Amino acid sequence: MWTLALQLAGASDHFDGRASTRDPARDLTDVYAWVGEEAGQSRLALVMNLHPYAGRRSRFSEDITYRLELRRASVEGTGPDTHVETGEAFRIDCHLTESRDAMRCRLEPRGAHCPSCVRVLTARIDDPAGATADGIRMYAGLRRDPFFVNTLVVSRERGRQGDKPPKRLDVTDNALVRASVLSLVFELDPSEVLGGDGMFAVAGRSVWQAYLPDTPRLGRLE
Amino acid sequence: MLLLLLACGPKHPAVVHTFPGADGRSCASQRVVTVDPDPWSAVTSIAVRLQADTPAAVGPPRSPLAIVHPDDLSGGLRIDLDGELGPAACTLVPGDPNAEQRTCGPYTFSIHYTPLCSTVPMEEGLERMGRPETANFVLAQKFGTRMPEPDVRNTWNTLEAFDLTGRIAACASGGPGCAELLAIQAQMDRGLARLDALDRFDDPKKARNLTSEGAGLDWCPWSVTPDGLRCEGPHPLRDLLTDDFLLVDTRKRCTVDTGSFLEIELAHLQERAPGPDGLRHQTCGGRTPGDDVIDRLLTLTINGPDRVPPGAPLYGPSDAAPDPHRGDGVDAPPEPFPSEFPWLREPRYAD
Repeated sequence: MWTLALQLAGASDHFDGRASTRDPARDLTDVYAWVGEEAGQSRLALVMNLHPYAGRRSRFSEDITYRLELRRASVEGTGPDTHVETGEAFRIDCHLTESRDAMRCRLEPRGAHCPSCVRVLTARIDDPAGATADGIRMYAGLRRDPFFVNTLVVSRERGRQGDKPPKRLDVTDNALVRASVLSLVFELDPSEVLGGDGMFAVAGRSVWQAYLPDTPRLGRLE
Repeated sequence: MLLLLLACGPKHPAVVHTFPGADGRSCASQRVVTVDPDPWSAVTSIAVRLQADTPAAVGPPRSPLAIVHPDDLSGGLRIDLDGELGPAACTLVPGDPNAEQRTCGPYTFSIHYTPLCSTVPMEEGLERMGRPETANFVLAQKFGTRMPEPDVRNTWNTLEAFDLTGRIAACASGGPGCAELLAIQAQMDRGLARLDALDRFDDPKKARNLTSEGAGLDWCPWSVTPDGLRCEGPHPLRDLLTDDFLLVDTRKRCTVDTGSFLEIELAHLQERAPGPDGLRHQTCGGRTPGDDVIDRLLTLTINGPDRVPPGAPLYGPSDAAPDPHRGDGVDAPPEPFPSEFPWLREPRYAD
């Protein structure tokens, strides 16, 4: 296993750290965000992948919230002073349903009380049709890992820091050619869901949540 | 943290367990029952009722009696009824003036517990991802050195993606968590400098003098010392990459394999002239599944900002190939991506 982890050390975000390597259901491998078009309207595509080398029996964790966060953004400055400012935030939180055969996702703006802005979708796991509602379409389930990389070359690039020049760089093996991942895929209309087109900063997270009361903990009785 | 308690709804019953109590035992003896409530519930009261036609009384809860943590549930949750109810359990027996000597009549215990909700859950970030390869490529440790570098990736993964640079800047006067944040920043600088220096092998003469200007440190002119001999200060890409998110613009269009990763950031970094729409960038930015981000990152970080034809973007959709092109030899997936939702192909299994 350790050998495998080392082999994949250069693969996007796969096996990035000991904690993620121990629990693949929390290990986010890739996030994608791009803008397509449908009927002249922009459609924002969001993909969050997890669980490196997922197999037939790999499952989302019922203990983890899978989250995509978007914030309106603007790029300020140029040259070495370039930096990004972020503002209004939106969050998509996904949990397995109690029956564990579907993923329920909730999109809502952050920091503003707007019950009518909340959108909830539930898609059956591995159903290619996914679910559609209120300007959002989603899919949850196993997909082929879209990332491609020659980890041997990348590892050698990383490994030759001050040691030896590379021998050859013509190997053409994609280390992930037979790999699959668990995917959460969204397509949404920015005008309808996010309040209009513009620039957005996008990041994915896996989060452990507990609903603890605001009372002093007594600990175990006795 | 202020948390507001709410009942989770009618599907969670408040009264769950009823146990027969001891009959005629001394109150000095300990009565312990084991219940098996749902995780994350609170035992809110314990009711004690005499059986048959004797009057009923309810022991007041010493609220809250217990919060049921999942870790506590191995073997069930043990509740000491006498300890929790005190004299109330025994005053149910009429006619005995001496509480210490009384015996308790037959009764039943009802353990009430209510699953709890809070409007603001406590949460712990497990893993985060914005840009690819930041954790594994830029923040990775250098192996085989006398001075081991810290593995900052676990900490990196638990942090919020947004405004990390702001949090680090606030660490100038110290504060909780600042040591970890500054370690991440230092590792980011080290990693970017290492990548920048990889092309010293292009010219063996440069490899002998790694600290002089132009010795493979292509980003160095942005932060060179006055004597021109050393690089100092932050790497120009450090703060951009520290705020770890994809920057995507819905005013521009892409296809599933447009090379758009980092295009928005680099258009500003290189001070590209705005187009007719007032935007410096040409694509939607973000990251498409077909984008060869490995080649893009290697070429950008190793070659630096100046090894492109005059007037060409640092690394954009229409630029001439930077010289030389850096890559891993794999430029595309074996099969093209579908152009329709959900865009990713059917799974394929290694097992």
